[in-house]
Order: sequence, then structure tokens, then C-alpha cells
Amino acid sequence: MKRLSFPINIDRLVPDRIFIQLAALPVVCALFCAALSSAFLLFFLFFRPAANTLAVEWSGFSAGETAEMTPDRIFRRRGGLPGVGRALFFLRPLVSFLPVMASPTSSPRPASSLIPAGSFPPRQVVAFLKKMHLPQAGSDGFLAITSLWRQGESAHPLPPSLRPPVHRAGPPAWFLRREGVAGWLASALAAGYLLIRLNRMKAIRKKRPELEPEAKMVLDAGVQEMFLLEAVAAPYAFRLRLRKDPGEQAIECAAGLTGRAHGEERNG
Amino acid sequence: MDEMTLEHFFFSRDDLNTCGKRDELEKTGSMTRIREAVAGVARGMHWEEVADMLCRSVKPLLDLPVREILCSGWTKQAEIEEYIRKSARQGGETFLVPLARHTLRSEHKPAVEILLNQRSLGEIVFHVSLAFTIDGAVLVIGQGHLREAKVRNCIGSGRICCDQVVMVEKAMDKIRFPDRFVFTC
Repeated sequence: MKRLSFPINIDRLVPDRIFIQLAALPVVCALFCAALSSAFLLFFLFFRPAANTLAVEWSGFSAGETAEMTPDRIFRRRGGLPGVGRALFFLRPLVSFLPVMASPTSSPRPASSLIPAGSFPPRQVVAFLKKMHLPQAGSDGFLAITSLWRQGESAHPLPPSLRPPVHRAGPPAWFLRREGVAGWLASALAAGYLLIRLNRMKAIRKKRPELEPEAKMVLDAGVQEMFLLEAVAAPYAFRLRLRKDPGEQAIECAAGLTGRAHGEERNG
Repeated sequence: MDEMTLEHFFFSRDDLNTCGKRDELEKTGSMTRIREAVAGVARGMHWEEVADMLCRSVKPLLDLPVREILCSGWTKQAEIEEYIRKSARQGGETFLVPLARHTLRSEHKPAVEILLNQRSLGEIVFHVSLAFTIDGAVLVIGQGHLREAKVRNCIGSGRICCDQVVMVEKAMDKIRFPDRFVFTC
């Protein structure tokens, strides 16, 4: 019998209801992953220019902080559960489409390294931003600079070291990273595998709808000469009705059964 | 010792193969009709499993005590009936009736009907024929009944057929009956 290459032989061991649940689980997971990845893909395709700004705003780190912008810290800062970000970070190859995980801004490097020490001291940054009449400049210099740059107000050129990375045409950088490519490939392969499997499951179950391959024999020592052998194979109530026969007997003897008479007598 | 039945007569205790000629059996008309009926009604049902069940049903069909066959054969003989009537009339008197060498033949037609969702798909009728050649038997008749029998020697043979196909055949061989049969018939 052609079987699915699952660790267990589902058709043989698992009843129909559980089978359906087991089959639905990967479907739900696949749909969820597909929806999530599609949402992020669409988001970055249409709103990619704002990605860095968004990431920085979302992280909440200021330029002066020297802490590493690890996913875990970002999650904690945003009120997330401790450990979640770290867990996601280790799952990065699979979820590399998440923006904070994979975007260059969110890579675990010191935020302060974006502003080279000495060449452009924080005080100068604050003064420059005050000149630009940006009230938030004093609290988060890096955020303001990035926002400024994104708003296109580049009439006052920034030093090259302060300019955020410029996106070029083409796929986002995180998409081209090795982990990202591997994640997308793995997701695509998993989705294809599930689709093929589900199609085959459907085809098999359509072809051989309900029969459990090992019919269970139930012996009902029934009424008088009739009893049933039943195969539990819902929805088929498959039974064998056995009819015994006491038979007809005949006696042949050469000189009578008790030696007193000849012949044969037949009885029904 | 368990009571001897036709199942014990045809099959040894460790003989699990009750359908030695299954391939030939499946070529018979009855099996072909049932196979087509099953395929037509229950799509996807594996015929192998149905055939297995049919073959396994042969043993239960043969759950018929040899004692009852012997009792039925003897008690309907005119001479034995005469002793039975006499014992009934004479109350507590018991007759010991020695039997001459004779052959008791028995023909049975057990059948298996296949039902799918309470609908009959067909029936397979087996033909069981037996022959017991008994030498040196004594019947104990009392109170209007055949009460016991002691059989010294018995040679038996038999076969089970289905649509002219011999499924099981037991050659003529000596049968080890119990020391005595106690009848309730």
C-alpha cells in the first residue's frame, strides 16, 4: 500500500479524525508562515525607503547609547518578553524576513559605531540639529538625523560618516543575505513539500476513502447457529454471517446396524 | 480434552492455514461474484482483506461437535429408535447395544453471507462431506434417550469443497475418539 513517508504510518495507526487534525496542523502552520512572510515581503517592497528609519524608531535606542542593538534588547525596550528576541535571533536563518532581525540597522553592533568618535562629536550633532529646529534633536540625535535624511531635507549636507546607508534598486539587503536566501528557500521548499503531500493525501483518501487496512475482527458468539464476524471499517459495516449446518447423516452397514437387518437408512 | 469438532477433525491445532488453496478458491464463481459486488459497492475496499476474512471464517463454520453428528446419525436409525422407545416404556432399564461395523456419512452445507451496511453482497456455500467407518461401538440407551457411546475403532475421511474446488481434504485415517461420548440429544 502506498503510504506517506511520515515517521508513523498515519493511515494504518491513526483514526480518521486524528488524521484530519494531524493533516490540518502543517496546513495551518504553512498558511501562517506564508501570510507572515508575504506581509513582510510586500511591506518591504512598497515601503523599503523607510525601513531604516522605522527600524531605528522602533528600536528606541539613542545614538549615544553604546549598547548593542541585539534583538533581545530591542524587544525588552519595546516591552516585549525577555528572551523572545534572543530566541528569534537564533532563528534568524528561518525568519530572516523579519525587519529588525535582518535589516542592517538591527544587526548586533554598537549603535555608537554609526557615529565615528572624534570626527563628529555628539555635541556637534546636537548643535547641528538645533540649527535645523528639530526639537527632538537633544534626546535622540541619531533618530533625528536619520529622520531628517529621510525627509529629504538634505540642503544641509551631513558628513558622509553620518549618512545612513542609501538603498539601491533591487531587493533589500536583508533579502540577499545568506540567511535570508536560505530562509526563503527553506520556506519555499517546505511549502511545496506540504502542498505535494496534501495533494497526495487527498488523492489517496479519495481513492480509498474510509477503510482501515487491518479490519478488526469481532467474534460474536451469537444466537444458535448464526454469529457475526464484523470488520470495523467505518463507514462500512462489513459483516460475515456464518450459517452452520448440522447436516444430513446416512449409515451404511452390511448386516444391519445391530446385526439384525440389512440395508441403508437415510435420515435428514 | 476439548470436545472434538469438525474443525479439529480437519485441522490440527497449530494449523493456521485454513485456506490452503486460496488462489483456486478465488477463481470460483461464488468468490468472483462477491469480489465484483464488493468492488462495485465499496470502492477502495481491499479485496485481500475480504478474502482473508472469508478464509478465516472457514474454521468457525466447522465448529460442530462430532458427537452431535454421531448422535444424529445413530438415533434416527430404526433399530436404535426401537431401543429408545423400549427404554422409555420400561423406565429405569438400560440397554447396551453393540453396533456392527458400519459407515456413517454426513453431508453439510455451511455458508458465509457477506453483508455490507446490512446489504447482502452474496453467499459462499461450502460443501463438507464426512465418512466415519466405525468398528466395535456400544451404545448405552436408557430412559428414552441415547445416553452414551463407546467407540473402539474409527477411521475417518472428509473434504471441504467450494464450487467443485477442493479446499481441504483429509485422507482416510484413524481417529482417536474419547473413551466415551456422553450424549444430550
